[in-house]
Amino acid sequence: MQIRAILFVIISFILAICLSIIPMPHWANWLRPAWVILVLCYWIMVYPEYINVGIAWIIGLLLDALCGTILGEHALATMLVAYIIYRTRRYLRHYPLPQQAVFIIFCCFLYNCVLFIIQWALGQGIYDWHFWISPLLGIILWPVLFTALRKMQYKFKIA
Amino acid sequence: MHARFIALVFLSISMMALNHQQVHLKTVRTSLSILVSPVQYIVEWPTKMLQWIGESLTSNQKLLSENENLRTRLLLVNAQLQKLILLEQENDELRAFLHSSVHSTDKVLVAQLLSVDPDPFAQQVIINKGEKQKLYLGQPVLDENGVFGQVIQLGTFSSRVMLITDTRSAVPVQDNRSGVRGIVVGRGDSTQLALVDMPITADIQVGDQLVTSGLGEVFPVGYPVGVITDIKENSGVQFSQVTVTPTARLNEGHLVLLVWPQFVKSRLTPIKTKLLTKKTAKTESNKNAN
Repeated sequence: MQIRAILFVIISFILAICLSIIPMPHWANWLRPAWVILVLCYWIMVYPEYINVGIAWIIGLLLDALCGTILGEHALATMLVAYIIYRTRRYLRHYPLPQQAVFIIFCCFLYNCVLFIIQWALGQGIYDWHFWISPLLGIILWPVLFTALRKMQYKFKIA
Repeated sequence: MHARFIALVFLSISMMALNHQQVHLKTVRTSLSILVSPVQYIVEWPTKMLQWIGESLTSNQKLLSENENLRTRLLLVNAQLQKLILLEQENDELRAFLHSSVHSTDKVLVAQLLSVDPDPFAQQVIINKGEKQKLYLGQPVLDENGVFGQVIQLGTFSSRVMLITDTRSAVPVQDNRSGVRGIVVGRGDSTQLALVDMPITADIQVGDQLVTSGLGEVFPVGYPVGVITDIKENSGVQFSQVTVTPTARLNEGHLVLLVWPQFVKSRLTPIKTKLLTKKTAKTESNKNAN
């Protein structure tokens, strides 16, 4: 992995983390898409030998610290998604974009499920039904994000 | 990859089990918070920029009128304050008369909310003061209208405040009119609270103001928490369902007050008296030598 590529990956993750805590209007708070998961899925498909469950777990832990949830909650959810993407990356790469998007939506849904189950087990199960809508935003976001990251990758000549 | 996955699953679950009640893994959490705290400040920039642009675009005329308004309000508030000072003095004298402890004013510090939206599951905000300003865990936070929440996690430069509407929050209160004591808990909804375990026979009415009772030694005495807006009595149940609207502006506002209540100092008094006695002993011995 070139240094340029490492920098690019780190910057994209920092941006995704920023987007996942940036202030939003009150009504949209539950609709926040899982930016970190989308970016993570992209990088697992590009560099599966470097970006895999270990990195996903560390990023999840950072999200836990940022969101004030108990340590391990986001880490577990993020790592689960990373594992699924890692196992299916070979097929996923050859899928057309819309089909990929559907698979990613499934992953985001799973991510939300894990978070919800843990929160519910801790007795903080307050939620809004909008929470289950947020993964669906992936159908628009995934193709846009995928093409944007791919273009940037070519532009900076990162293999 | 398979083995690593299973190991990490177990690690996450054991971490959750340890970190549950916020007892263990405190150092891990603090160091992680320090690591990510720059992100919280970065995220705040866009909102600050927008605010700054908005402020610089407001016309001079508008600022002048606003200034005028604020001046008149300050005058009014000052006039009210004078009356309050008089009342406080009178109150202290009366208390001294009754040989009960005199209320002293609590130390306060103004903090700013960092405009960060944390986890939607919890009712929490982050403020721009931390251990550097000598905050402590469980410290009460107020805004200009009433009780806001308490500090639940400390960083060096920022800390996390749990609002009174969080499901884990409970505030001991008393009815300002009748003196009935109770506990107000959050429901995870930022517009309402619940007064729990109130018997049907308790003397409470819609419109009653609830203030902190000072029991539990977290919140100082006498700050407004909310107003009772609804009392439901179900037949066959011994307790009534009481809905309370918080007086603090939990959703708006940008500034909050951190309070160092007096009873924390009273807990420290034994040490102080010890020091004092040592000193006095010294001076006494000096006197004797002389």
